[in-house]
Amino acid sequence: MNDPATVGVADATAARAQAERFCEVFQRLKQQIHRVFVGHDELVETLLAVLMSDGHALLEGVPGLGKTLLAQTLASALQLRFSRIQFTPDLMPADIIGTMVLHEKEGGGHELRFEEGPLVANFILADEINRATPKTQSALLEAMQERQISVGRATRPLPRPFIVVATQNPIEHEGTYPLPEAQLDRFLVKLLVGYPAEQEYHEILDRTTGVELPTVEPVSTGEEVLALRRVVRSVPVAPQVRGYAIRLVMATQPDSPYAPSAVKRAVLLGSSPRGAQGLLLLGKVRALLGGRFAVSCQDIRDVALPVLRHRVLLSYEGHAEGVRPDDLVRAVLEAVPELSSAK
Amino acid sequence: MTPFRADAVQAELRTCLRAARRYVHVRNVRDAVLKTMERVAWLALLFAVFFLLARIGMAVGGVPASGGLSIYPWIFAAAAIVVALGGVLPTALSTPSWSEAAERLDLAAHNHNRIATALALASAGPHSAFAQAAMLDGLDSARRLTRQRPHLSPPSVRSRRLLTVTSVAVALHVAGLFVQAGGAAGTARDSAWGMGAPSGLGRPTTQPPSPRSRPDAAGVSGQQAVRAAAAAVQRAVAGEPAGAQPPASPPTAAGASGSGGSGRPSPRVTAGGLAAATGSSSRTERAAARAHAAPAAPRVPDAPRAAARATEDAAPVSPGSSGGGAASPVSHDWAQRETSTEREDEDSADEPVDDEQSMSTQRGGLQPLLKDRQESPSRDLGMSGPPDGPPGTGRGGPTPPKKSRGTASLVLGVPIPDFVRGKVGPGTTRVVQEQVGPVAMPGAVAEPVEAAARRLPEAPVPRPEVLGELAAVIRDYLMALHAADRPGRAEAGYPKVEEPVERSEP
Repeated sequence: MNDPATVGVADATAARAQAERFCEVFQRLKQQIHRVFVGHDELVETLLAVLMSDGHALLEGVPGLGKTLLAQTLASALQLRFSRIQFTPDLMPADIIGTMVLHEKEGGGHELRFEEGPLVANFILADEINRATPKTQSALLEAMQERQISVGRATRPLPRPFIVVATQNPIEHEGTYPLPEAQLDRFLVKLLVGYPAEQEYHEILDRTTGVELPTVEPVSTGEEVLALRRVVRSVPVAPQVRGYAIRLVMATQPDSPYAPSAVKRAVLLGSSPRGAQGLLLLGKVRALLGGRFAVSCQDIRDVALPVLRHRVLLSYEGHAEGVRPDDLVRAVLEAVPELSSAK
Repeated sequence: MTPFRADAVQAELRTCLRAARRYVHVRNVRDAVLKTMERVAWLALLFAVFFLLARIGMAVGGVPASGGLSIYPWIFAAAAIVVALGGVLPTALSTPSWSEAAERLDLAAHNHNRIATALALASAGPHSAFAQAAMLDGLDSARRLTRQRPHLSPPSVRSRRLLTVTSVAVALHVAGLFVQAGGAAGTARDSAWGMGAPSGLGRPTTQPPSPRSRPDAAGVSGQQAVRAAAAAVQRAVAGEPAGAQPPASPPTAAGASGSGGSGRPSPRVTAGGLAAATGSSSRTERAAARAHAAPAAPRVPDAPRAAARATEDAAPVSPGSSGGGAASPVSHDWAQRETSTEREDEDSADEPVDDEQSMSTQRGGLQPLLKDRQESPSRDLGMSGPPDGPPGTGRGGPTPPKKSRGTASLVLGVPIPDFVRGKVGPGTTRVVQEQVGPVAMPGAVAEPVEAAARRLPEAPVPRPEVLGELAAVIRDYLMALHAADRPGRAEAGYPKVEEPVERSEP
């Protein structure tokens, strides 16, 4: 019998090479972003993981923390078509999708042509997305999920890769429209941008108040991002790890047998299957970054907070008691055992 | 290229996992044994409680300790064996799966599920390049962690709780033995479980029967009890001590005194206790007993009167009558009045609800209270009737209470939790009304004058002092402001007020 360690080496070597290539591009992108965006290493890593997972990200933080700068920098590091949409209350769906415009033909006569809106791009920065009305916010639903837009009777595919990075401010609620649940569910992660550390303040001031401002060079292309996404999806998931992710998602649902008492008391709606998809996709990215070829339960736990925090809809009691979704996700992580035999 | 052989990887993984699997099995069996011990301890506690209650019940009720409980240890042993076998055998016979051993090994080594994933992928379908790499990675980990002990869940059985339950069970059982031993003074010793030999009938108890426990009427002869009570009263009048034993009570009286089946009255039981032991079969007996027990109390002169009253009450009462016998044809009204309060108290202790109702509504001919007033029949002669009752007869009658149509009926029935947690309620508002007489307000009063006279007195309104220069400026400003109202303003030499002029574009 052949030694199991020597058989199938060619395939394993190819997988290792792909994983190393993935890590190399990932680290290059991360390095370029950190030339401009100081600190928040975990945040940057998760945002890049979202890019590699074919998802969308929602950045939430108070003004002045660099949410828009982070998204702009990421777009600059990729040679992609970039669009920035500043969401305002009077923004209409046609303003972002595009509309039919009457054109005069050269030979005479008129025709209707589709004028693309800023949504037709690879990288969309939806700045202050909660300032637009739900009507305009809903115009993003089809684009974010199906990667296409429908104008009139025509459906047009959006260019690939397509990623939406939206920002919103958690404190200014006047004149804002909270994102509908269907819209929130389409974001793979919700990332909270916090204040930088003291040392990071020094670095920020050094870089931004001098004569020369740091610049970002494009280090990857759209085609390479698409190839890396295929690598990510090639990472296998063992049944027990998949079961753990499923149990985690089910534990956020108050009617589930896995739900802890905190969830039963304070949650109205739990995560959808999109949450489980997000757990596995981001877990695959983390496995590759960790030099492994399969997802582990620890990978699932590491990404549970950004993936599940915006998919937990608090009940009236939860709002009244001041429960935070992050605490509920942590309670779920503590309640659900990792061992498949312990359920 | 040599094709990838997943079965070979799986076989080697199992070889590496053999020790971990065995270790998990041993620990599972040990946990099962501990769990079984805890269950047996709880079972012993249950049996001890049952044993203690049974012993107390038999001691109180005077039931002989027959051989019914002698099989108690055998029942307990059988139950313990069944519980032990049911708890340990399934675990001992079932070995943990390979995947469980792999998961526990990964968990113990913080191995990111490498071994478990490799094992699962090896037994799954087509193997991609990444799956092959993951399997080889897991195989390397398994080789490295052969001597690693797998992760084990903390035991669910706490030794302290086990000891506590066992101690309580033993203590309860010993207490049960103690109850039997304390009540069996002078009787034969029981077996090791305290239930072996029957202790015979008529074991007296130190605990008197409850006053509410009425004796069996068939075994009680009321007249004999009354005679015994009267004799006791006579002895009390003669000055004998309260604890003196009556000379020779007939067997029927002794049987009557044993309400709980205890035929031999204890020497410590006094006549008062005897009468109390007979329960409430006859109030005359209790009255006689009270009279007999009276010498122990300071009020010695009252004893003859009570004894005479008891004799009078007791004479015409038929045996066993408890309620209707109180209306004795020979009893005096004053005696009935004096004893009525006590009888009411006793009756109220027996049937509290009925007495409360009767006491609340029946006032002995006096005017009924307003709160007892019943609602007058309705004048509604409609045929609809109550919504949940039979249709109306058209003759009126009580109608169901009207449903509220006010603001309270509009309030949602959904409980709304308070957002402000822990805030103390404001409480009831107390309004205090005080009669205060009119008080004149300080200040000047303007005298009313006729309007046509135009000679108003100086108003009490304070006027600010205006200095000379400021007064001139104000005067000039006001004159310029109102100059437009007067003709010839240009000639008067007042300053002009410029008006805005519209400029036209060229």
